[in-house]
Amino acid sequence: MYYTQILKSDKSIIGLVPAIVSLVLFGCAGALFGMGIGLKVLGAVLLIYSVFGFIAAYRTNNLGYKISALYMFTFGLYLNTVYWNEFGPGDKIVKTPEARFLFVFIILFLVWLVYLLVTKRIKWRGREIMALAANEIEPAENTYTDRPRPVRKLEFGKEHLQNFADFLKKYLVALPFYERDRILFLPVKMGFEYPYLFGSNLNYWEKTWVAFDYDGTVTAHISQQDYLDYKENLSFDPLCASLGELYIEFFEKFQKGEEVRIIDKMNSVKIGFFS
Amino acid sequence: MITEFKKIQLIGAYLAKEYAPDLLRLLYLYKDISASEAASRLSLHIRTVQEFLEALHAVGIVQKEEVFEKKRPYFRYTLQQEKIVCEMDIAALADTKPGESDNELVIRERKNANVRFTTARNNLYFSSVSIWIGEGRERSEKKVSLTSAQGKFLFNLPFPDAKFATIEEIMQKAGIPEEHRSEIIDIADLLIEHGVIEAMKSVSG
Repeated sequence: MYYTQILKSDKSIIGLVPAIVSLVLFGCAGALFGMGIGLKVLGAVLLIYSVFGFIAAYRTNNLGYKISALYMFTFGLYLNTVYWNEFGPGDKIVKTPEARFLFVFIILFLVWLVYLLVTKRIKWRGREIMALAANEIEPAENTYTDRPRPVRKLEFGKEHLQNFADFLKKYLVALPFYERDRILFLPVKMGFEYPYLFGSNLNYWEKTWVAFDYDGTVTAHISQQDYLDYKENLSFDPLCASLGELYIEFFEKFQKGEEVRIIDKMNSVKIGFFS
Repeated sequence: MITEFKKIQLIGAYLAKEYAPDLLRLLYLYKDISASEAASRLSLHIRTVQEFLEALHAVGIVQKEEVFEKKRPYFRYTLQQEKIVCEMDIAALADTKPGESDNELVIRERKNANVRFTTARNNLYFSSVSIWIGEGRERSEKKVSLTSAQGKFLFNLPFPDAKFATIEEIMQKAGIPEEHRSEIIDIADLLIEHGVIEAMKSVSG
């Protein structure tokens, strides 16, 4: 239904950096000090990663992040409770009773994690949002401007908006940033979530966002980086309006208790798990 | 009575000088006086006194007469009026008086305008606009701080590919009271002049 080809293909490897770093550290420690130390280093790295996972889980309340953090935590503990049998007979990895206990949880969390991955419950929906916003927008040259665009005015209660923000972050549709008079919803693209989650000085108002003022005004802003991520230069005014209207549509569906329709609409955009 | 702004500016600048009361007193007491005489009387540099008297002559407070008593001709100055009266109409300084906008003009942001808008934190308007002026090494940034009405107006300015709108329509959309019209027109004129805003006459007129 939607033209996902409107976005450039995702070739970023930023999302793989943590995995690459942990493997490099594991390889270096294993090569220099032996496999036993390598496993301990990998375990320590996973425990550190799990801390970030718990921070992400706290910030988003997303089930995927919770399970991911628990998986890394148990795996990290597991690697620190097993022994490497370099010269002796039998298995190379010697499991203690604690390790056997943890192993059960590792498998449980892994299966759960794969399920959440396949069902896109642990996927940031930034690319889907940008693809949906660009639906039926005509190409046009030299129309970009860095200004936010007022979309329209709505009537809603502050509490409704806060519940909506909780929903969007839980399902990774957007990360809300709370200001005194408004909430900004930032669509985050998969692989680019780290500065949003862990950055202390993120200039979030320079990113792409849709802001809902408590007085009802809705405003949209698209960053130049996101604009250039489209294959073609699109007519900017209708694109900004479309992005704002998309969030308004989500908000109206949320108010009617049709949250599942929001997720359905996201899933109608055919984008891979890791993009 | 002095009513011309330039003349008021000139006389104002010289009346602000520390020595102005003394020189005016001399002009009042003497039937006529030369710059040299006044300078020696007040221990001032002759050039300073000359400039002061020439300024008074330019606005018509003193009359000067060229005399040839000494080796070289020189001027003697005579006070023409005992009171200095100025009247300034501030409204005349504004190109457009409040309420007199060009309602036929429709505007929007120009494509590729060399401009950067800075948003006021926690507010839905701009706090300043930076315009790049000139080319190459001569290029410089002109930053204009905006009033909140101007900031709201520019926040609601149509995008480069959006439909043109009149100043009136934009003000209505932004919820700007009519009393701010003149400052809105002023910033719009400035940005039109610097190529940030594209303006054209409305077809419907």
